[in-house]
Amino acid sequence: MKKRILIISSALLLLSYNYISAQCTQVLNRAEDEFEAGRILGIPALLQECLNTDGFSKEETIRAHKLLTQVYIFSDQESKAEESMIKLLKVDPEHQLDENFDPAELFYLYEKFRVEPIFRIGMKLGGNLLTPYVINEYSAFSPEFSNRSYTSAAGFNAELSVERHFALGFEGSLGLMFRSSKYTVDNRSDSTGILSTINDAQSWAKIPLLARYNFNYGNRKGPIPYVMGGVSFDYLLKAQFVDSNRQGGTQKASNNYDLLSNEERNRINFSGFVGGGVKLRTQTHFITIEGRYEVGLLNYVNPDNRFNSNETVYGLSYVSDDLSLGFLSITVGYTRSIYNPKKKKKFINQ
Amino acid sequence: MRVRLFLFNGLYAALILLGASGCILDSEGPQPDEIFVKFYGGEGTDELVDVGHIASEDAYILLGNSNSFSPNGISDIYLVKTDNEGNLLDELRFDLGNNDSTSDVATSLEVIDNQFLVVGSTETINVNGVFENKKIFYAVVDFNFTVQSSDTISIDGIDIEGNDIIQTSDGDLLILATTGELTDVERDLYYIKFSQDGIVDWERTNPLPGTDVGVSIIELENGDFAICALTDRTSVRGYGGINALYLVVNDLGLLKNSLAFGNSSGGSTIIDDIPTKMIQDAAGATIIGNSLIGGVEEPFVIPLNANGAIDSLRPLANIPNQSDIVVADVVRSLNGDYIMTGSFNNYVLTAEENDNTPKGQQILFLRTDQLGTSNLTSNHHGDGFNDSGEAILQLPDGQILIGGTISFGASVTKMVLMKVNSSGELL
Repeated sequence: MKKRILIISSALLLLSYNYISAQCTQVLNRAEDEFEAGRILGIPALLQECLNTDGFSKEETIRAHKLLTQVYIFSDQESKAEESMIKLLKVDPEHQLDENFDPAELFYLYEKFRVEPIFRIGMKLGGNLLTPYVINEYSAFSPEFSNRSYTSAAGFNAELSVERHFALGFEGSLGLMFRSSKYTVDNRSDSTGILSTINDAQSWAKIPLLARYNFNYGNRKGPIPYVMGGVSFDYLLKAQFVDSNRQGGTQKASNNYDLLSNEERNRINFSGFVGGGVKLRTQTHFITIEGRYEVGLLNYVNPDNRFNSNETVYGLSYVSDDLSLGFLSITVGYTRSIYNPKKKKKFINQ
Repeated sequence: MRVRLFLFNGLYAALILLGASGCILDSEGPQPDEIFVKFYGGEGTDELVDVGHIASEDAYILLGNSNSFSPNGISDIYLVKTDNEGNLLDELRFDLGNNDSTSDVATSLEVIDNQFLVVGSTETINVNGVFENKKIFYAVVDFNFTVQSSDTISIDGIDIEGNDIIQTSDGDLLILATTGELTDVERDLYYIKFSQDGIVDWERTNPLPGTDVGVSIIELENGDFAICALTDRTSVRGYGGINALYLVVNDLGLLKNSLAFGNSSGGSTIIDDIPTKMIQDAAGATIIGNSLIGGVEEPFVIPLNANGAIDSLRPLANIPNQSDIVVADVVRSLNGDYIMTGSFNNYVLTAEENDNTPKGQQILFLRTDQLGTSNLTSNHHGDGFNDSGEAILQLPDGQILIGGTISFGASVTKMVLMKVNSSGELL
């Protein structure tokens, strides 16, 4: 019985909403006809109830606010016109006027308002490939008899960023990134038959600061390609030798050897990076696809402590080279625009 | 506004270019010539015996014994030359009988002008696979690793092993050796002086009774020679068991003085005091060695003054947190400290190291003041297997070079060279 009442109530509610919605559509059409006929004084009262009861669809709400803005312009009610313009921009932040239909007075008022987002919030997820670059070589074996090879390994990264457009397609962004990365090094001493396989895995917290130039920034339909570059403050959260071993003699395995507690790695680093990508607009927001190449500006290895650990030097027969870490990353992201429409400063007292 | 934009973008462009070029701002820290650890050898057993420094080239020579290059696992004498970063420059092996028909073992290295001397012993394996009597082997090699001369010295029916070699002030070579009949456990000291052309000046066998085994020989300022050996005899300062023996012979090898030293702390317990090295130093000479007390080894020093007058044996006890320590080689610092290497036989983990991993025998770095009782620092190296320090040098810059043997388990050992700071640290 209760179920039946619930179904009937819902059906009635839906019918009622559709009825009200249909009514409000008629009201908006009538209001626009009134405006065309030059009878503008009664329009605000006509639209008010539907606006108050959310009787319009989004598209109708935009039309209603735009109509009201024009009504107030032509009835010399400037403050109410501005109020309506703000309401219009809150519903449709980057509302575009049509030169063919919209009056010059509306353009004039529109120009006085900030329609750009105040900032954007971006989220990116993706993978990276770490390539170590040797600055200075070190080994427990003479170079002639030591064959060391590095292999890039894949990791992932996630980034949150706050972005702002400055002018002429130039944007700045400050982010917070988490990165997990890894590389492998095989160290073979042919003369002694010693082979060490080292997997160096890291977790980073990074604060990238970048500048981005968007080609055709105002493009509202097609993709927006961009190039960018910047620097990053990098903080090493974790660095370990994982699943590492030495062969030759009795095999020695080392799992989860903590490089940070033994101060064998530098916690602080800085990176420089360049990259490019494309933005795909979804209304006022964007989906981004981005490629970035990054290289550490400081030594990843703490040179003071490279020989400090018996486990690495003697156990694994491995001494770390001075390294700069390079990262190639591909990410997919979503950027949300945040708006706060209001009158531009220079027009506030006008 | 445009100017500000230009500067803003210019700054970013510079940073981008910096990153893109992979420009590295920091490579500070110890460079390769400052400290290092390097391993040498083949795939088998390579054990270090001694290390020398070629001051004119700032290069190092390592002397060791190796079976890595022998098809039958028979010992060869193995020499390595490295640059001042420990990088291998040259290698030389002595397989005296060729084709593994001899077992060749080195015991000492001495760097002289433009050359270095190697001494050891060689045993021939006859067709029945039985070792014949041992002979002294010696070689004179230049710094390019070209052998200038080499030979063996033998006595029929007698084992004779080379213990140490020096160049005397008249340019001859003097070898300290130990002899013994094949059927007798008693051993005697034997020393032979000869020119580099092989012409013997004199040869002597120590006439004292009992068993003596040679360790080191040095030339004193007055032209006499001081010999360090171990002996089963006691004298004024010997206290039973094996003692350290100090002999002085004149320039003709005739005995002038002898004295045995022992550890007096044993009471009725017999303590074996086994010397491992004698060096010449500013004060005269120093003998180091180890006392075996109830199965635990305790190092000692015996300082000898410039006049040859003799001090007593000083036990080096009170080493923090550690016992059962063996010293193998020593240098004196400019302020007279003893800097030694050897091994911790039973390294006791510190609180920080207590990771429940067996540490095995560890390489020792030990620094004491002139009294041997304070100003003590120690360090260790190695991981899990039996490692030992065998030789130590102090370099002109105050850094220390330690040569030793590192074990990788499964009978695989490597010669190791470590350049450490004056506290024995790889920092």
